[in-house]
Amino acid sequence: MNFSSSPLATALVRPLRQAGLALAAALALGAATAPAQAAMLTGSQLPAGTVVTDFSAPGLLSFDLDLASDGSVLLEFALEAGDLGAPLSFSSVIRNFTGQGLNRLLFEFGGVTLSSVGSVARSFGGTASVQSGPGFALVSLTPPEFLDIEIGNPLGRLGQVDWTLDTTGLSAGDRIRVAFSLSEPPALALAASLLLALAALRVRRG
Amino acid sequence: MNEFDTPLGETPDEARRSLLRGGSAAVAAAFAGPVAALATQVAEASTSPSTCAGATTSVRIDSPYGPTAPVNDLTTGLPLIQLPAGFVYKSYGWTGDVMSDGLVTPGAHDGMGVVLSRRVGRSQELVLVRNHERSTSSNPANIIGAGRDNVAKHDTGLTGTSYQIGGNTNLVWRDGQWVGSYATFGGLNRPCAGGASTWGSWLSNEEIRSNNVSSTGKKHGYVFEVPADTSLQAANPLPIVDMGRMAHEASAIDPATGYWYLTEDQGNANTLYRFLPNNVAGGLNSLHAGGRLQGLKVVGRNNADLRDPVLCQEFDCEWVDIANPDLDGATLNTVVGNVSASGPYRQAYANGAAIFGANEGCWVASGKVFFTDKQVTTTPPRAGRVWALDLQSMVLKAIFVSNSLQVGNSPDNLCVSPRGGVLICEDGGTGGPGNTPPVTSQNLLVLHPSGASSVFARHNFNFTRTQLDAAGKTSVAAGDRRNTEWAGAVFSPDGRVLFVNLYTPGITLAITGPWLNGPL
Repeated sequence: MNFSSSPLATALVRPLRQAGLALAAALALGAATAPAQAAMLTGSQLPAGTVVTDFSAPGLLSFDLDLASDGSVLLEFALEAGDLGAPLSFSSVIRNFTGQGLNRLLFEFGGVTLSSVGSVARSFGGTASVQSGPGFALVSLTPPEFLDIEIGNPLGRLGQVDWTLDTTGLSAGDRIRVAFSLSEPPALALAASLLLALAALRVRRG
Repeated sequence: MNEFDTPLGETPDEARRSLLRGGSAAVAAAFAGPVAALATQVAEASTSPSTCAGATTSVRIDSPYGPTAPVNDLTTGLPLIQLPAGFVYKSYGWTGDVMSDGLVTPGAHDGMGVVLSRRVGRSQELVLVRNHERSTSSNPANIIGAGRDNVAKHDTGLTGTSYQIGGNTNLVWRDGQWVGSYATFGGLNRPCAGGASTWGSWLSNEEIRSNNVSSTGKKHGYVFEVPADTSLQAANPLPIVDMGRMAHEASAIDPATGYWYLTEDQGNANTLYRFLPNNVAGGLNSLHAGGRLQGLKVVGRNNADLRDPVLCQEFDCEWVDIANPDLDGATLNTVVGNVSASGPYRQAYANGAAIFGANEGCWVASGKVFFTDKQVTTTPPRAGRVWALDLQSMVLKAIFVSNSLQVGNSPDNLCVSPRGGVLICEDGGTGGPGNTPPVTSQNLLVLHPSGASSVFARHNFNFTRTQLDAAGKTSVAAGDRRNTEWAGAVFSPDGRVLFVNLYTPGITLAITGPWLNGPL
C-alpha cells in the first residue's frame, strides 16, 4: 500500500489532483515526460452531452460521469506502476442529468476483475443493492435516483468504502476498460438469471 | 465527443498530453453539456406564448405530474407535504434548529434564492440566501446575529419600543446534501422577498411602508444586499436607497441589461417598478452607487386600474420617472379611493402609473418579467393574477387570472425553472371567492401556457406534539398549518432540485423527481 491508498491521503490527493489539472496543463510537456504513476484515462466513448472527468491517482481508478442520456459509456485506462502490487481502488460519482430516475447501473470490467464491492451512496434516500461477478456489477436502486450516486467513496465521506479491482498479473502499460450503462444487456440478464437459479437450487438442495 | 473524448487505443503519453491540454477548461465546462441538455428537454414550457383558448379566466386542470399524496420527509420521516408519485424531498433549517454558527434558526422563512453555484474540489456546491420575515421585538436578543460582530446589521436601535428582528441566513447545499447554515444579516423589518443578482449576492427587501425613524436614525422599507459568503465579505449594512423606500416584495434582474424589476405589496397603491443602476456592470455593492427608479404606466391611460383583467388581456406600457425614491409615504387620493401610498408610488401615480392590487413575486426569464398580484376580494371575485411584461415590445399580458380560490389562491412568490416552467407559491386562506368546498391546504401551482393551473404540491403540516418530539423538533409548535404560505421557490441552476420554504412553521425543503413529466 502506498501513501495514496489511505483514506486520509486519498481525501487530500483528490482535490490536489483536480486543482493540479490547470497547473499541469501549463506544464504539459514536463508532465508528459515524467514517470507515470497512476491509472490514466486514455480513451472514451460517450453518449452526446455526457462528460467524464478523470480523478484517478496512484492506486485509484476514479472518475465523475455527468450523464446526459442513457447511452453506453466506455472508458479505457492504462495502468501504471503506482496502480500495481495491491488491489486497485475504484470509485465514481454518477451525476444524473438525464431528467429520468435511474434504477439500474451496470458496470462491466474488461482486462481486470472486480474483487470487492464497497459502498453505493445515493443523494435522495432509497435502497441500493449490488449483484456482481468478476466482470460486472449491477446496481439496483429503489426507488429510482434523480440526483447523484456515489460508487465507493469518491468524495472522501466518513464510512464509505471504495470498491477494488484485482490487478494480479497485470503490468504497467496494460489497458483496462470500464463500461457503464443504464440498462441490463440481454446476455447479462440471462447470465444473472442462471446464477440466481443455480443459487436457489443449491439452497433448496442444502 | 467532448474535451476528454480521445480515441481508444491512443498511447498513454499521447492521451495524457490530450487530457492535460483540455484540463482546466474541461473541468470548468464539465456541467455545461449535461445541464443544457436537461434544460432543453421540454419543448413547450410555460414561458411559451399562451394559447388563451378564448377563456376569460383561468381554470384548474389535472396535473401532468399526476395526483399528490403525502410523502415522508427523508430527514425527519414526517409527511410534511404532498407530492406526485416519484418525487422525494429532504428538509433542513427548521425554525429553532441550531445552525453551523451556533445560533438558532430564526422563523418566518420567506423569499430565497440560489446565489452561487460553484465547484469546490470535486464537489458541486450551491449557496442559498433565505429571508426571515420577522418584524419587531422588545427584546434585543432577538435581533438576528445579536452579539456577533461578523453578522452585519442595518439597525440595532429602537423604533418606538421595538427592535427590528428580521434578517437573513445563508444555506449551503453540496453534492445533494444540506451541509450548513449561518446568520448573515440582521436589523431589518419584515424582509419578505428579494432576488438573486448575477454576481453572487441576494437583495433582501423590507416590506414596510413607514416614515418612522429609529433611535439610531435609521428608516425602514429599503433593499439591502447579502453576499453569498459573508466570511469573505460581510453584508453592507447600508440600504440601496435609490431602489426606493416602500413595502418591497421581490426584485429580479434582467441579465441582458442589468436593470432590476421590483414589486410592492401596498394594497391598491402599487405598480411594477424598474431600477436602472448607474453601474450596470454589476458587482457587490455596485447598486449602492445609485440609479433611476421608474414605475409602469399604460400608454395613453393615466392610472389604469389593472386589478381585474381578463385572461390574456394585453396593455401597451411605458415607464415613468420617480424623482425621489426616498420620499415619505402618505395617504393618496386615487381613482380607486383613498389609499396608503409609499413615496415612490405617490410620484409614479402622479405621472400616470398603473394600479395593481398587491404585487408580490417577480422573476425575469426569456426576456419577460413575470409578476404576481396576490390580492383576494370576494366582490368583485379576485383570487390572484400573474402578469408577463415583454421587455422588447413592452406589452403587458395577463397570463393567469384566478377568480376562485380553487384555481389559484393568492399567488405570492413565483419562479421560472431552467426549462421554462412557471411555479407559483400560494399564500391565501379560506376567505374569498370560490371557497366551496373549503380550501384545506395551500399549494405549489404549475402555470400552463393556456393560462390554466395545476397542483404540483400541497402543504401537509398537521402534527401532534408527540410526532414532532419524536422527530426531534421539540421547539416547533404542534398543529395544523396546511393552510399557510409556501415561499421562496427556486430551482437549482441545473434544474434538478427545487428549493422552497414552508413559511410556517419555518422549514426549507429540497425536492427532486421526474420534472420532465410536466412543464417545470
